[in-house]
Amino acid sequence: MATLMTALLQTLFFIPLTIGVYLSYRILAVTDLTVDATFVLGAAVFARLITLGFNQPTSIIVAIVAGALIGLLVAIMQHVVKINSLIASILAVFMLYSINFQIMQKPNISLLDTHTTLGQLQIANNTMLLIIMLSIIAVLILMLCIFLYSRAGLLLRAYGSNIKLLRSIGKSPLLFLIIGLSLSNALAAFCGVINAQINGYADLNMGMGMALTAIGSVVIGQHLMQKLFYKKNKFNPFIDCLSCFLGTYLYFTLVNYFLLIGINPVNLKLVLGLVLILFLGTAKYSRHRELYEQHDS
Amino acid sequence: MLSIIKKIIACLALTSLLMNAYAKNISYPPVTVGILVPMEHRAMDEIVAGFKETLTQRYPGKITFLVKNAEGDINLQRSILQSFKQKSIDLYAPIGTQTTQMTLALITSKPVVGIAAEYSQKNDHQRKRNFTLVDDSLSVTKQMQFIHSALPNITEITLVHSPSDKILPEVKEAVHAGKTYGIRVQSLMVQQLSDLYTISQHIPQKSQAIFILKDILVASGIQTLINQANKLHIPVITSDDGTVQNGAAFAVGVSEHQIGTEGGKLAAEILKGKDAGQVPFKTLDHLLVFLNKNAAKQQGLNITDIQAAAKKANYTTIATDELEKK
Repeated sequence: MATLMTALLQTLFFIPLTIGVYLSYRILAVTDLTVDATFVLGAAVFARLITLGFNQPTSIIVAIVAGALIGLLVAIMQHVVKINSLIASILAVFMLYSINFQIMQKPNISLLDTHTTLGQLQIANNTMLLIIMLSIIAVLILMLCIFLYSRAGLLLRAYGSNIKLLRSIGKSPLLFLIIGLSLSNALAAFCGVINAQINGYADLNMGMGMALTAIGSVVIGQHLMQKLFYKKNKFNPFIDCLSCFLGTYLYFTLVNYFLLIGINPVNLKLVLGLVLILFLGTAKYSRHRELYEQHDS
Repeated sequence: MLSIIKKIIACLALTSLLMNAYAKNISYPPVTVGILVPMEHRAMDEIVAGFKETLTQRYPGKITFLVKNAEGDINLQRSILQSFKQKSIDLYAPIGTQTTQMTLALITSKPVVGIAAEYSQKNDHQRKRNFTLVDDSLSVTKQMQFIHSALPNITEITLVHSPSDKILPEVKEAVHAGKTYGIRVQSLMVQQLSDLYTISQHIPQKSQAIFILKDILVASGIQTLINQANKLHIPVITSDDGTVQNGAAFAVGVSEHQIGTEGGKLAAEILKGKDAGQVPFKTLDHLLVFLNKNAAKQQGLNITDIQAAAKKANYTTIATDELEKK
């Protein structure tokens, strides 16, 4: 039971990043690994500002905006400079290492002596922390669902599933790529803020492997949801968000369970990687995307 | 009659021994110690070994060690700490600054001994938390002083370093201390191991030695620096025993095993009943000189000069063949 609760809390700390990756990977059908670095950027901006004496809301908002700004730049790199999405994101991660360092001025900022809401709640009242995190995530998912059901959301989805349609109705694909990637990276930065508060520090290397974990969670969650619970092919952002939640929860439950039964963490990544290959190989939407690309060319 | 008295004395002695052993077990209950390692590295293994050996020697009760490696993944690190929580760990021993920070953010009810870690609040009298630590940051000034003493002709040194949180302040200290001893320290930063070769090609011709701090990233690529040093016919001076075993001329610093040993001493004090918050932070003041005689000769150094400087500074010299025997 304790393992399930631990996994649930970890899922809540990580889910904004999974949803961010869902937006880029599933909705825009773009492979964006920038989240590895925007996760750190969010933590870095938040930690720097709060240690400089700014209040929490300001620090959080600036961190989220910084993440969104990076999304905008990556979109321009992809669409205007015509760099392949994967390469553009790798380049962004490469450059953001220096930017994050410049923001933090040192590789690690400790927040142990700084008052942060989530950090304090973690020490004082775990149930309250769970309730607050559940509320934050519920509001986040609700806002995302409303957006994706809106006209702008529909056009955003068109970018990923039928970019020709977008062009034929006179809409700029760049605009929707910017919106999508900015949202995705803003969510990653927000996730970084949460983790900085919970873990008590921001560190230059804290983003390692985040994108892959999130992509894995999206793929596993969607696959399981389609196989087990929701077999309709109709787009439903709420079900998709639930899938993200399911995938992330399953990931953390597995990690915690493996640790509990004594599996060496060295072997953990191999096992999880193999599971991911299995799911990625059978993912339906990756084939859809390939099909569209073939049509486009 | 005499034999009966002898038997009674023997019985009493045996009973006393058994009672003593029983009393020891009562006063020192079995404990579980959770050691959190941030990544796979030889230095980490050495620290863990030193910690376990010392704690086992100094704590009379039974100790169960749980050693888990987070493989550089913060999610995994958090999961490990949560699994430790469920296993009722009596004392947490995270290795490294980031690992210690996460442990302190998550664990409040049990004592924590941070090993090879730094804490932002340097004034430990103001500590409110139930923890203490072994701060392994070296006195770079002392290192520079030793280099100057062993190699008085050196005026130009290239310091290759990573952007680690521990290293950057030490680099500043090295530059500052260098000025005191008439040594110009040129620092070259390496962000990732793959950059080390390129950076090593930019070590100036006029540099008279390559110096590295206790820097895991750069130490991992020591061979690249040794190759470049051989080309330039200059020595490689480091700050830990492992790099000297791998071909650096000499190091002035501390051994990873020693860091673990100090952590083990602190942990033993706490497990015997001391409040962790009252145990002062441990800094490593006494430096050792690790000497690779073959490499030093190849890199153009006079071994007796180094040994004499170590003797003068009252540092123990350990040759690599002695390290290998250990």
